[in-house]
Amino acid sequence: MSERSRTPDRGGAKTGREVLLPLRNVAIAGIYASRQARRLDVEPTDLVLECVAGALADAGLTPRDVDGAAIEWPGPGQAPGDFASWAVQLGVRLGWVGDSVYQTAGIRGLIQAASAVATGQCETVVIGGGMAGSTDRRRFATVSGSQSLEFFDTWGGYVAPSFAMVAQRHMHDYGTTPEQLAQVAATIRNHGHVNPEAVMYGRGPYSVADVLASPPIASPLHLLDICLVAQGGAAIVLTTLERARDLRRTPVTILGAAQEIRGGLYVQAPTYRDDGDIGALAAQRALGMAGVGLDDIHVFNLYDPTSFEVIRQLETLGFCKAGEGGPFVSSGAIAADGRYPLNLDGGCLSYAWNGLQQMTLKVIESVRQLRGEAGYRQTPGARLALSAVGGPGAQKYEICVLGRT
Amino acid sequence: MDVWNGIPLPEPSELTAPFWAACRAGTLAVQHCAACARRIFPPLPACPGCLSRKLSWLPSPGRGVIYSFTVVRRAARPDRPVPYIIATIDLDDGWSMTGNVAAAEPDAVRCGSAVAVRFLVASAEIHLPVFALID
Repeated sequence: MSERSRTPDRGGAKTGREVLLPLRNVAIAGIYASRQARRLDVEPTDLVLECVAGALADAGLTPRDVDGAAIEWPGPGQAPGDFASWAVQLGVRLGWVGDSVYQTAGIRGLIQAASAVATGQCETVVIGGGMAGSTDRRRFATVSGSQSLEFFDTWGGYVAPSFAMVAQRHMHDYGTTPEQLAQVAATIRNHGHVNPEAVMYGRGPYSVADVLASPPIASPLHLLDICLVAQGGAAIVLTTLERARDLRRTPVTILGAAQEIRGGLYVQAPTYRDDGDIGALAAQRALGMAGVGLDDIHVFNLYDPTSFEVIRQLETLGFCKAGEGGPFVSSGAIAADGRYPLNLDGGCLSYAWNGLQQMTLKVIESVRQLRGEAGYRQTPGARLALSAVGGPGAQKYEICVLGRT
Repeated sequence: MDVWNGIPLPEPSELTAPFWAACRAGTLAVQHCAACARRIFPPLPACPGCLSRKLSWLPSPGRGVIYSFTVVRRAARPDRPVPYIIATIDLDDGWSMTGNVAAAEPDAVRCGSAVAVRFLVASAEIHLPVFALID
């Protein structure tokens, strides 16, 4: 956003354990993921209510137990889009309510809802939402709403080309190959191929050659390098760890969590030079807060809107050095039987990308693994999990370390 | 919003109008902070280095090299012809912008390819900058 050497200062952001750790007093007590599909023929309201009720039932709680909410309000009834509507719908008095859709999902939603619990604004929060119906038939994610982004939309920009331009330069700088990108796509898609909940269940298995033979979308990315837009919803219930210990499920605690925000969405194309390390600071902060290193963690759910974005994160988070992500994935390190099995649910590439709540699915898969409820794909003895979303295209990164108490 | 050749035409704001006015005059322009000599693009209400409001616009020679690019074969809008190329251009006068590259042979585009700006008349108000490969 400024001249060429834009590398941002770290500013006032703190890293490590000097920050207070009140998030540890908050637990994930309930989770719910709806059916995910290319198209869900239900109303958004039906979907969101299903997710809220499902997450509460999973926790063994009732609507009357809720006193905090960051949940999309698709209507009808009440004030359109106003989350305060949930006070009426749930028949409760809310001590805290979210005021942006970004608080309804993902790790950003988790952090902000947990902060409300940790600071005593409320005791039990639901975050969630969903996308369904005829509102969005687009095959690929676009970004702008009614207002055109004049230095992005004008050039024909959207999500896939943004990630593609970062990948292209990485290939130029380090010799990363299309085959290495395809290896990521095939690996994660094959995880989804065997997940009955995945939108792309049974659609594989995929080889590197299959990915490379799929239609080019935005070089160097092919169709199968990019996630597909689908529909679905999700919700999470958070409460105090003390209360969660008395509830139905094994509590999962937030050991560390952090965000890194570098700008608004899609104002211009990101660059590898400026944005290639997005998430490094957030990861350092979250891992420092948790007091653990990558090798202590058993389950990884990284953000995979495109194949290359996984390679970038492996380097940025420190699984391998800058430029070594391609050979790292080719070695089989991220496969189900590798050293760092990634996105065993199939991730965005194969399980689901559904707008906002796909970010919540990254948390839900970690919770399932930590509870020991992941079935055929259960990681034995999983006690620590890492989830992350964001990337250069979105100019933000969100990461958390979750633990089984 | 007007659309030309599948391109949603910008509706300049007070902040961005000088950029498009320069394009109409056949010149690429970049916002400049007099206080710290920083070039700023896309434009901002204040300098990201020193928060100075004393910003002006400088003409740019409009020559540079491609830092990175993508050949897009699935357009954001169905009415936009493909393929088209989006690139980050490092301008020789020390700033960068995202833009389109015109190339008869898209596969010839590389990171490091030299380019120079041209303008396409999309409407009376909007002349679109496009970067062409040069030797």
